[in-house]
Amino acid sequence: MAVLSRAERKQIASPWVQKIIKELRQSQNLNFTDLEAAVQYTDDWIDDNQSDWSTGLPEPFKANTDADAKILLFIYTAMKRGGLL
Amino acid sequence: MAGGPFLPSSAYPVGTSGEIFPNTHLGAGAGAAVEEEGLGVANATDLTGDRVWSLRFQMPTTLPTGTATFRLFALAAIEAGDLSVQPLWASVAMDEDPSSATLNDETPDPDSRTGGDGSDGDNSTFGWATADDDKYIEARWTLNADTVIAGELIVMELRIVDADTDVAAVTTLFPSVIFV
Repeated sequence: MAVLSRAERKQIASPWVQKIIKELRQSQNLNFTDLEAAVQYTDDWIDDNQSDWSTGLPEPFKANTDADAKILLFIYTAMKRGGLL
Repeated sequence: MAGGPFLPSSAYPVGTSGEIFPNTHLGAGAGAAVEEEGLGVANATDLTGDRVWSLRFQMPTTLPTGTATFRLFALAAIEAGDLSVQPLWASVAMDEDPSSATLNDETPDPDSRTGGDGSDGDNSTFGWATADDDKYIEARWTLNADTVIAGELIVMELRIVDADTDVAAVTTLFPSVIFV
């Protein structure tokens, strides 16, 4: 994915703001400009590493899943680590 | 003798649902009256464009002495970020159409501020920094883009400027016209 647009960075930051800043009242010393940089860094990291990660997936999972299914595996694993699953 | 405040006789949120709305700010303090109802603006991550509060202020048939001033204060549970607010207004008489009035720009840089860390030149009307959460932050504009006239209505578009807003919390605004 190319560099995210401002609107796309907002879409990613919005639920983070709802959960962390609004509900938990944490990180209240961050503004959206600060969040934009962190969102972009995270997306860049995924972009840089997705090929290695995908290549390293074990068979038969790798051969029997399309790109969307592989992404969902990544997301569900991350959500579990974040306590959201 | 100075006078006011004259509060909005009408306040209507124009635009996308969820981005501008009536809101009750809940302070985190231990006081017994922590709620305050005002004009809500979504946090910057949920704003997708400029949004407007459409306001009306009824002026008395005899104006107080002093300088007509638009006073706006804000509350938010946050310690960083900027909110850019641009008042545009005109005085409209009876037998005139307020929806056809050409509104005059006071710009997002107010004539004075109390509290917060907003600054002129970057279009940040209000700025929040450490320990500004749940505190009143005030901005004042001398109403000189048009002329305030006794017995007329001030028709105001209170525009939230998305591009210059990055505060990551809902903000609640409280507008009035005063004479100082």
